Amino acid sequence: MKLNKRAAATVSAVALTLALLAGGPVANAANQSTLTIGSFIEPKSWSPVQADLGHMAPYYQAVYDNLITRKPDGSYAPNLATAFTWQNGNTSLLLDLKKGVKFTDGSDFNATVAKANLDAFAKGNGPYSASLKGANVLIIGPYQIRIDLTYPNPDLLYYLATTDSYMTSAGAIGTASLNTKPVGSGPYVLDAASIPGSQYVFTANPNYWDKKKIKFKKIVMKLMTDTTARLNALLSGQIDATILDAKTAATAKGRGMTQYLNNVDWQGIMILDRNGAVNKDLSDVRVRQAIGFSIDRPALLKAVQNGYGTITEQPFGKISGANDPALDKFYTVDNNKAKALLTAAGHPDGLTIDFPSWPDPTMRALLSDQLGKSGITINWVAVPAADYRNQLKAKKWAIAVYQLGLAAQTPWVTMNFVASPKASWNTFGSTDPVIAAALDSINQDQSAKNVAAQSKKVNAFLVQNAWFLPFYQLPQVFFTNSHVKVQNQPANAVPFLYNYAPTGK
Amino acid sequence: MFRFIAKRLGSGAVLLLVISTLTYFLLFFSSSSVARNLLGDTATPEQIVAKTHELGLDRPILARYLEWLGNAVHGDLGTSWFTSQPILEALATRIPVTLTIVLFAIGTAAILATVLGMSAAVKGGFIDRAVQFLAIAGFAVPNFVVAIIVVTLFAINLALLPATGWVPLAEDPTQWAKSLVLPVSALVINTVASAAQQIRSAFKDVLSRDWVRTLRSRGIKNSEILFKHVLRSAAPAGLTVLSLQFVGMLGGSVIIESIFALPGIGHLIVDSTTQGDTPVVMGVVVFTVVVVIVVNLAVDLLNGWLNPKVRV
Repeated sequence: MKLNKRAAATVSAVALTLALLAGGPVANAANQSTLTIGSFIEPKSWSPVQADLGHMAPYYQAVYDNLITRKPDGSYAPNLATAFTWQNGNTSLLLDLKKGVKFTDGSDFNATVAKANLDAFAKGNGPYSASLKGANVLIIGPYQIRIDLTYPNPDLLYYLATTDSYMTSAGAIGTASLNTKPVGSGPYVLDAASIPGSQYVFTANPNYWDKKKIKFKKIVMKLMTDTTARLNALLSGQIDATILDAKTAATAKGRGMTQYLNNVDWQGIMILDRNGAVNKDLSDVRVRQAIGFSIDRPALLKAVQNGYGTITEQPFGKISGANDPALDKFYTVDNNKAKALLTAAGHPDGLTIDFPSWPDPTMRALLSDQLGKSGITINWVAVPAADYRNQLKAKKWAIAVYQLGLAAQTPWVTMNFVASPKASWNTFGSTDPVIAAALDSINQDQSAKNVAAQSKKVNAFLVQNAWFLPFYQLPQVFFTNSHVKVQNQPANAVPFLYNYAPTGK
Repeated sequence: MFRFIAKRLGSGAVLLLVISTLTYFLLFFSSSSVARNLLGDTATPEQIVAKTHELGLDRPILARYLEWLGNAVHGDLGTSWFTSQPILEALATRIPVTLTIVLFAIGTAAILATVLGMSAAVKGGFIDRAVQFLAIAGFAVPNFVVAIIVVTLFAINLALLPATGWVPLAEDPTQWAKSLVLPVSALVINTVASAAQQIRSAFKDVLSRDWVRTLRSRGIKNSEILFKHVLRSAAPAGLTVLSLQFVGMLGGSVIIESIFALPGIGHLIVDSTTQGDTPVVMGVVVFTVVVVIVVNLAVDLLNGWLNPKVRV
């Protein structure tokens, strides 16, 4: 009896503790005054010099203002620059600057500050500093600057609207404290409740010059690197919006979350060594094309991405102006044609090609099987995942499976990403008269029409000569709950911060 | 006693030096291009060279190590290359998270394992078989599976507890307690499984000793024999297992930290190692080694207090 009383007391204590702890449903952060986003990564530095695109963009957009902004439809709009005009055959950009803007340290924004920021960005060693290389910023008046270019850059507006023109105060430029404490003029201010590695809290800037942009009183960005954690947080109401993936999307949709698909990346094979420096066989276009004719893209899309994506064979995205739907049928799977190409290239018995081991075993198995049907044996060589990209950049591999984030970018960005001799992903510096002619033409005529026309030629060349063999455009799978709505941002992995709004529910 | 502690602390300092040295050089030989990881896809070769120089990575490895060691001895562990956050600050925010979770898990596991182990050894029969079955089941089910099950049940379906996140105690004690429940539960199962088995075996062993029979023959109450004598003699085995589990949890909590989005050191070490953020990796290694040294020392002292025969 004594024991029973003790047991009963213990059970009661446990029950009471649980009841106290439970206390009803978990507090839902999704009230309309707070936007809580589950974020994939956190900023490396708050210095605008280190600004980055993709998942980083919303962080910078909270605390900083750009000179101009890029709207969800891809067009450019005034921001701290009230007007921007191309001059001198598109080699000078004149910008009128907004008056009366103050930074959070109380100092004023003006032409001198704008020039100091742009100069610091170009001279600093940030991820995108090269995009302003060669630009000369001139102060035309107290609130007017001009950016003179020494080489053509049709995408200057794109970069100014993304990474290159976040404005900080003159006193903050170059200081060590700017790495951890932003000094901006943006719609929000970084709150002391922020904990690096855990969450970033932004409160509305009471002195902000455009109240319309402040749609939430508070924004919280919670760092959640694990997809399952982000899914659980979204389903339990701890966050309002987050990026998920093809594997978790069905669960989120099934629970009534709103899905947004944005084709930003493509996944496929990059044949980087077109001159045979590492693998002589791949210098023959017929071998490269044989690989292209061996790939069953729909099967890959279904097995690897649960069908999330759009089949494509070209590295230029659909909104780039260089995309050609006909090119998406260039490499219809044809093992006999692939074998014939290999025979013509001197490989009647097939050949073996070394690939760095792509982390996804499903992808590896399917590619081995598909290429094997044409007589191409893939030798997957183990590479540490963290070193995969670096080994490609270091020219250790002639060919590799990869995912590139460029499918929806503007054609000039893509040209400088994959095609030009110094392009980021032209690691072996391949050249060709077709590409050289296109680049020459763009140097002469930077009109959007000519850039698109020349990029189209380059795109066709890249596909037909199998420099790149994309499988599919890969969507970023973004979700919101019923409290928040958002618009996708072209060419960015997650929506810009300006694109969020409360639904009123 | 003082000599014993001084000797252990001295050997701990040597261990710390050896492990930190090995880690620094292993990182050098295994790390990829930090500059490339920092600057991303679009960086030019010139930028990579400049960033490498900026970080001092073009200097000889020995010079870099000696500089790090000199600064570390003076309490300066440097700054993260990837977040610009001072290492001590990063550790100060993350250590309480991991230590709280792990300490609660170990504490809970110790109580449960002792109760289960004792019951199995003393009662035998069904309880013993049930404990053994639970121990095997506990081993068989990985803690991340437990984590997913408890999140789905208690956070998503019942909405009783938060699915993710950490709330500091000073900010909101109730939310702090709530944020602990699920991660601690997920960690406890495995730990209880192994510790209960060890405690059961140790108990059985002690119960079969002649001196226990002697105590019984003298009419001493069974509860006194069990809790005052047998438990004290059997405790070292359980303590050793729990201390090993504690150290293992510090590093192995990364999966639980990921699933519950907890800003602990497990997550920090994985991210920094993947990126090649040497200052952070070194900071976490130094912290972990210090914890291991302290825990081992504490367990030795506790064992000595429990069992005078081990005070050598």
